[in-house]
Amino acid sequence: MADDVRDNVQKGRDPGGRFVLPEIIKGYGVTLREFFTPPTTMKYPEERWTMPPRFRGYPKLVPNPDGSERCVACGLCAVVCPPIAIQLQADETDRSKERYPIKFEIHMGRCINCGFCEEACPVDAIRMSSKYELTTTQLDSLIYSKSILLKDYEAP
Amino acid sequence: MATVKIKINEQEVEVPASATVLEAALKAGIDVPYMCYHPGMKVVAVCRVCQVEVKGMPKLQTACSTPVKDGMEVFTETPAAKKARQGTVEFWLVNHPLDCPICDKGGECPLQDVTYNVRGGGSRLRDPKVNRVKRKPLGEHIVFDAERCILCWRCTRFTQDISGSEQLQLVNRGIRTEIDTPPGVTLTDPFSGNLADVCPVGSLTTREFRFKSRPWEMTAVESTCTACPVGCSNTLWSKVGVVQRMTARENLHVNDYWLCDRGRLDLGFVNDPSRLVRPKVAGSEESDGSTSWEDAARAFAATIQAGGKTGTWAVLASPHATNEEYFALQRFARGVLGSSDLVLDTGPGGPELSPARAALIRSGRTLPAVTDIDGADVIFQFGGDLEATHPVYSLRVRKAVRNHGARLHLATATSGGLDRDAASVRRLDLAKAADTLSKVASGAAPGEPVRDALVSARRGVVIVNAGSENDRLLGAIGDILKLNPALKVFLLDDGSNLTGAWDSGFAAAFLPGYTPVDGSAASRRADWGERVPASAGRSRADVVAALKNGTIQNVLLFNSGRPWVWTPELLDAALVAEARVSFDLFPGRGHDGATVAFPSPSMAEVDGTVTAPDHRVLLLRRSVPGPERLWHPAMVLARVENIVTGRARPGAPVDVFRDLARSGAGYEGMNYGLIRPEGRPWSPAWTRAAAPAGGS
Repeated sequence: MADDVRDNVQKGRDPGGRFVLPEIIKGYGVTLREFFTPPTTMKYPEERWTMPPRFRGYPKLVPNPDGSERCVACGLCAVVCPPIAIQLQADETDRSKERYPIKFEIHMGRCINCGFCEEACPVDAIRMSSKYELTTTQLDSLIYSKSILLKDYEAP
Repeated sequence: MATVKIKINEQEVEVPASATVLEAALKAGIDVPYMCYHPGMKVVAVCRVCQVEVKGMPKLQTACSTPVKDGMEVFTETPAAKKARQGTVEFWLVNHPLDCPICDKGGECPLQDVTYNVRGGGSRLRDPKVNRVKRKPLGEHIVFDAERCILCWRCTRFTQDISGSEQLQLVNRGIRTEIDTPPGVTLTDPFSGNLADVCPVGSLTTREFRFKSRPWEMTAVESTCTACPVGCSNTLWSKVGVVQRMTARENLHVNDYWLCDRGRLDLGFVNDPSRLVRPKVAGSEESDGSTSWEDAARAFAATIQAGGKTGTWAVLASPHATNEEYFALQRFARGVLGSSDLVLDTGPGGPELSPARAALIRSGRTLPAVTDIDGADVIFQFGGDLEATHPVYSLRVRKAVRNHGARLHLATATSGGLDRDAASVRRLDLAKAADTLSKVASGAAPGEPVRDALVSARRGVVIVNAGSENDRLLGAIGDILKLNPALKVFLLDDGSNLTGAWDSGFAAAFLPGYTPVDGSAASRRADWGERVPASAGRSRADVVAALKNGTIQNVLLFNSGRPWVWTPELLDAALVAEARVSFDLFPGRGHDGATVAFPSPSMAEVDGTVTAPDHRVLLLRRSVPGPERLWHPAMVLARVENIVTGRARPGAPVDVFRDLARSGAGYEGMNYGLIRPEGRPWSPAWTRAAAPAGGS
């Protein structure tokens, strides 16, 4: 841009920069005005949005008060999951619910946050959380195990 | 068979006169729900859900217990019938926990299906449901959930009528009615796995499969059990390459609807981590000696070429491989190794295919089909206890006794489940089996009711489950058969695919179809290879001796399908051999340190056929892929043959079976498509020659 201006001035097409200078001043004016208006963006890593209540972040497992999972490993979430992101293996437990997932994994790289799992769950053991940050440099770390999915559950 | 015509919902159905309305409706494809009805069991009509309206009858009738009558008119969708069904379902669900997400039956549950189809108006119950015991081990394999039970009595009827153990019964009354074992009894029924099959809710589950997988996650493949010679039709259920369970598959020609626990629950070896995966060659550069399949095949070929002369190999095989493997193995042994020394390891003193036995098989006096037991009026079971060696056949014998009025005479070594159904029982010393049988035939034994029964039998079946004492036993069987031309003999042995091995020509003195080697082997040279020996091979004892004294230097140990423990006598002799090539599933004495060692597939990983003792050919289907890039043994043999002789031979099981079908084994005209799903009886040349023209 600056080169263009210099070109034009030197070649006599715009002697004295008649058309350029006012535009520059106008531009600085906008900058000056924005300087005093409050920002519409957010300082992302330091500040975060509070998501609306119906927002679908990634799914979390709902824990019982004692920290164990509510899930009975019926497999309905896995069968309804459109991108086949959920893998689980049931096993027997001594607790009264008899059946629990010995393994419960969601591949967050595949999850499309559709919420079908939440809808299918007969025991309300999986819910879409408000969390959405998944960034990683390692693909494998996107496979969330049962312990990760149970951690930091926030009741809506 | 006389048939009658009835109308169900204005639709005309023609059924046998002995059928019930429910069977007629099922035949016509009309949906009448049922829970307590099971085609293999007697009718009790306790579940009450199959109620239908019959014209001329004042009240609703249970379809399962109403016999058909010519001109009968049945209506299944009238308001009264619908209301009765809805009421029945509502009563079931009063105390049913509806814990379908937890229940193993969820997804394949008749109660779920019926409830959805009947569409009742939900529960009107205001009180809490009755809580009952949720997991009560009834026996080693079966766990009982009392809450889910709807009291259809299928399980109690199974133990009472089918397996005969009477280890389940109804206890208490009214709302407290439960099923339980009698006091002090645990469920040791050798058929207890069937209870999980017949239970129409998730009340009875096997400990082995509990919570392993949901039905929809699994792939079901129709296959055949190879745990014993019976060859029960089964369904193998696998999930991501792991076999999860085996369930019975209806096959009225073999196992009806049942499996024994031995076959059903012995699946762990398929996915055992200690399974062999890669071939090994002694002296290979890699530390553990493992190598590629191609290199191992080349090493095998080099061993053969180094051996030079014919007759320096012996082939030892376990008795539970597929027919394809046996056929390929005997063709390879004869044509490439130039050896007829084929030994089937049937245990110490186990049966060998002798000329007398082959003659008996060719005589037409053997039982043509196991279903003929149903129609027999006299059954004489001789030898080992059927329930221990051929479990599902004992169910058929019991059925013949209880449902068809056969008289059962037992002469068995040990007491067994059939004792209670027998008209006469005597204990037998297996070592003297042949003598005892001779005495029965001659009437020399004191107080002998069996001989008279056999002489007067209209359709008698002699089940000989002795195995050992070969020719003398066969002589005694011959004497028995002379008593009465209406007698048929059913020869049973241990060793699950013994019949298939012999049919396929895996015998020292016989080619496929029980053709003697002498005189006819040379004609196979064009097909099988130049080195086919013209004379019969050695007997088992002679092979052992020849291995020990060095007449036979090389040995091929072949096991496939299931784990196998070689008879020590045979294995010791094989270990003496200079070169030893081994096929096996697991490491072991015979496999470790072999010159060339190949992993072999389990029965869940091969396509193939096995042959039941009545010469019915049954199909095995591959249900899991198995270890990565596993070669089928027939493929290995074909490759080795290609290296040694240059002959290109397809090694896929389907091609080997085509060759087997053309080899005169009595499997002419068969292919895998024709065999499934119920199997197909053999039709050897000699029976076809005897049958009238046009007979199939």
